[in-house]
Amino acid sequence: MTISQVTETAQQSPARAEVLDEIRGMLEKVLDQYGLDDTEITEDTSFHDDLGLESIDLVAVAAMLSERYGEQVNLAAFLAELDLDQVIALRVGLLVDFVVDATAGR
Amino acid sequence: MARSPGVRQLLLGAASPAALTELLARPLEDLLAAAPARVPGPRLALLDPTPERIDLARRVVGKGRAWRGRKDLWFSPDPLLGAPGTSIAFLFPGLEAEFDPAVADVAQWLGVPVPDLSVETLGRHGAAVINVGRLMDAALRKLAITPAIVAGHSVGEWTAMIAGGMFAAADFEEMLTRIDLDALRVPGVEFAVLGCPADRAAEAVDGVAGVVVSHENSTNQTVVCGPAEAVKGVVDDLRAKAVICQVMPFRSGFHTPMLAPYLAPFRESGVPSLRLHPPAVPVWSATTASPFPVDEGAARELCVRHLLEPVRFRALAMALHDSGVRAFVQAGPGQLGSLIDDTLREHDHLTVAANAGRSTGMLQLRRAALALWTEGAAPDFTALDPAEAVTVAGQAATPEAPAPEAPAPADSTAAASEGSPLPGIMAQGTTAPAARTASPAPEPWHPAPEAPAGQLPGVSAPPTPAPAPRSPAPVAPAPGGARPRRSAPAARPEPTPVGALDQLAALAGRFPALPELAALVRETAESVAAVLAAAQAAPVASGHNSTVAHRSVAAPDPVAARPTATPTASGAGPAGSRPTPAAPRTAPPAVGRPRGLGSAAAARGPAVLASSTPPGATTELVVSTSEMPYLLDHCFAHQRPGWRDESDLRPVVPATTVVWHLMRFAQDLITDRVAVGVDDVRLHRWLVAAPEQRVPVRVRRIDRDRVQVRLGDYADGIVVFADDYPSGPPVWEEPADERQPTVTAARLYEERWLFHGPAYQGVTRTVGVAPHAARAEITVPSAPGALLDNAGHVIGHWLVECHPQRWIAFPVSIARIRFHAAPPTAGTAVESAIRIAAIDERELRADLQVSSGDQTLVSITGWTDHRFDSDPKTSAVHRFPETSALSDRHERGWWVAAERWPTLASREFYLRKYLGSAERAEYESCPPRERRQWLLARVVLKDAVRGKLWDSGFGPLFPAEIEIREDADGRMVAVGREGLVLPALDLAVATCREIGVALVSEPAATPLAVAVVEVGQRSVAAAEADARAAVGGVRADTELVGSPAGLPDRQYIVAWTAARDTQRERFQ
Repeated sequence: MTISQVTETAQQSPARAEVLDEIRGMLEKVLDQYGLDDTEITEDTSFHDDLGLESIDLVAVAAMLSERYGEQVNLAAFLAELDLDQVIALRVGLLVDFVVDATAGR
Repeated sequence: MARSPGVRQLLLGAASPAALTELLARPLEDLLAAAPARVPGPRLALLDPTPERIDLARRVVGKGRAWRGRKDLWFSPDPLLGAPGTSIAFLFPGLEAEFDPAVADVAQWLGVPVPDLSVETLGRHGAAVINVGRLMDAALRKLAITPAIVAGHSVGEWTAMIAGGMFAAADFEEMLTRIDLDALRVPGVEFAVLGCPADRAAEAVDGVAGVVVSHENSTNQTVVCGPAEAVKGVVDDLRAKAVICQVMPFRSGFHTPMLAPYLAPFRESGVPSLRLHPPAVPVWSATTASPFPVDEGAARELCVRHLLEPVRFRALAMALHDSGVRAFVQAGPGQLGSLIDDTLREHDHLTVAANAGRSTGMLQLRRAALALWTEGAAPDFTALDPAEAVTVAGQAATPEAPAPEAPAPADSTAAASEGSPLPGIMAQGTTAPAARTASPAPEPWHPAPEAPAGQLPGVSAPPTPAPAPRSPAPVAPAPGGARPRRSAPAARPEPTPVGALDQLAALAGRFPALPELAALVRETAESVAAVLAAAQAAPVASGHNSTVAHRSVAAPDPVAARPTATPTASGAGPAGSRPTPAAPRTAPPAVGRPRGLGSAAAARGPAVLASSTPPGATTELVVSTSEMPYLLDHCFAHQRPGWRDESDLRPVVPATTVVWHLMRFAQDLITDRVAVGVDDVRLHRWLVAAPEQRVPVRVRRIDRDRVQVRLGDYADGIVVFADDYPSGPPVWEEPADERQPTVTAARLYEERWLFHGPAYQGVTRTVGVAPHAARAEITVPSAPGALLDNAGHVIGHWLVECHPQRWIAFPVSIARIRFHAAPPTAGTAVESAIRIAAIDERELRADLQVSSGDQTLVSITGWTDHRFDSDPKTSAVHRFPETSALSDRHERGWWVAAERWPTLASREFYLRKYLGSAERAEYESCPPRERRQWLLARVVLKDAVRGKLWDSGFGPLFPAEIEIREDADGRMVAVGREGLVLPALDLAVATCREIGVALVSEPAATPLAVAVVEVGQRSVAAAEADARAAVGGVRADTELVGSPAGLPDRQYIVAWTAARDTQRERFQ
């Protein structure tokens, strides 16, 4: 995989890395696969194509996000802005962006 | 993520996890070479077992927990189906927001036509979902995977009832032609999917007028339905509370009490009316979450409740699990399995999809088989193996054939040959079997002469046309007695037009005694010249611009009157003019700019695009006749020359021009490699250029070699790249059973067997026709996509020659296109050949080849055409609507039309011939279940009006030149369009089921009336009385008429007054 090269261009602030770690943990929980291969979820990982997650699984992620970060992290409102194809193509990086943005005002 | 279509798989079983771990330590080749043995204990399956993946398998086994499918690995420490009382269920999906099946290869494997996958209407979407489900059922059973229970979600329940044997498939299909599924819906309601449990959804809609829960999908997913505005309110409300919501792209009101008022026709002649059989496999209802009742009446009633009560899919999943189901096979694409997973989170179970849009159909089937094997089932992997098919069936499998998992490279393919099992182990490995490489068919494409294509699986032999006395082959055998591969000039060193003409002239000189050939040659020369002229001139439909003055037409507006023979120069000129660019435009610009998913995706830009799975880039394609002037030569509906309302002409982007655009968009993304072809081209809807459309284009790189391009929801395909063009298969030999064509190239277009205008008229010689093949010469026109379009004309020609009763067909999908050289330039003469792989009433599948001399330039497999309903009458209207009618004149003066377009596709095809733009808008605004009668009334009225005018000496008159409207008093009147002036006429029309009758006369004092009633179970006298009463009088005349052949057998009474058929009075 060439994903490590890809993510180099993404901004790597400490907060960002922390959020990525959190989300990785949540996804592992949803996938029910604990720590088998902790390098496999990166910002470039796609929910649908790479992880095999469907939209129903986002419900669980949404619940975990608002539990961890509070009400201002409303994944439902964020997803409402996307069209169906975009939801299907959703990547972890975009979710990190969203959480970073949503918590920035804190 | 990309997997080579060739597949290796590893199946391992052992008595204990420790034994499995020990096995995994052995060299991979040993594992692959071993043969299966059956022992109880943990099982592991791995697709594409590379050392890295074996490593992952070791870790997974080491953890000891089940692993079900991620990374194509399956591991079950304690196979679920090993325990007594456990079983497999098939679950058939219903309508989902995304419908992206990958079934072309599966259909090919099963030897059946690819189902119609169009989703443009609710009815078609439903039919497509059901057809794919049935295909999956057949495919799974072919793999020896059989269900203990079948069930479905929403309309998928009907699929389950077919799969379980409660309905005969034929009965169901026949029902679909009768019932208008599009009519079965509640106007104005929408579905919204809510990411919350049913009780929370019920709470949210409590007190919101008209909104109800329609689907209790899973623990965390519920669907509600109601008026659009109210649903939006619920969605906004819940979103603010962080509930994920999505409004569905289709509307029906199924599974709610709101559907009740619309249900009568469905109850009478829809699903509940079908003959019921005791199920062969138990069918469970999602309405009751239990098996269908044995009592027939109760089962029928449940079919009705199914549409009025919520889908209780969560309860169904729980009940199935309780009954022992442990493996849930999703028999189709989509997300149904995720609903099961969500519901059974705390319960041991397997869900696996038998189809998925992001995989090939055959690979996904293999995954399903691997998953089920891991849980203790015994799928028949040999059925998946093309190598086995070769030895068992004696058929040649070839790299070109779109065999399910076409094993091109030598390291691919799976063999399931029996061998001596390793002691205490079961393992099934795969290696390239010697048999495959040892006996390749020398010319695998070409069935041996003694084994005509008619004997290939899945090919039905069409009736052979009455064979004309065979002329001697036009070309003498080559020296040495070898059959020449072409009857055309064998070598074409100079593919210049002049060279071609010279050769043709020379050929004519060699065979002066063959008048047919001389005629062919003459016409060929003319055709070639015409193509060249078209290529040199602007691609404007000259035919549409010629002035025709065969009757008087008033011209109220001098500018907008009949166009002159000279098109005006300005593309934005007055109506009636045609844009005339100075040169053929071969690359219409795409406007719009790539759009990323969001800031992060956009920022990554090129780096992301270089990765294996970039985000989709979106651009736009402007589809209009000014951007694509050549489309004026690709119009589906002929109209009066110079017709101004472009939408009446119906300019449509040809399938192959769509392909051309798919390739162009992919090439924008990958500039350093060669686009060598396109796979899985699917044409979902007509892409119409008038009025102008802006179609979003999504381009997604799948892997290094493949780019998926979607043109809105019109079409999509996967463009394939390589470092260079792949070498082509040998040029097909001339079919042994070939005869001379009876239709010349010029006649194909002049007689409008093919509707194409000059810019797309490339067939310059029809060379030969055989029962399953045809050949022609093409002089490549300049319009984008015209080369392959013309390759398709050869199919059209073959149909005209071999299936003159049902010859109208248009492409719906193309499985595989490969260019073996740069596409020939405009003006080049090439040979084109087709082979019919399968044909039935609905569909035709062909393989095509374009070649030049000994070189194959393009090979196409799995070109699938949808065949339209046609008979001599509809065929005449298709070709010459201005002089043909769909209706017949009764000897007593009234006109009668029978509905000869039972399918929606055909209905919409013919309505274009009859309706102008205003009428089409009116048709669209009709409630769907009234549309058939509405259309039938227009058709018969227009024919009656035209008949009246023809009687008075009118010349050709297109149906769309006449508009039928209601005047201020609510009376039907016929009005001429675009300058046509009609005399005042009285009109009367009536329709009943498949029959429409109309009467037209000069204005009279007594009103005209006509009626038609079905006799049905009544006496003829009773029906006659009804009909008389309908036209208001005892003085009415009546006539008993029967349905024309091919339509449901019914009798009708037609009654009419006035018009007192003038002819007869004149005689008396």
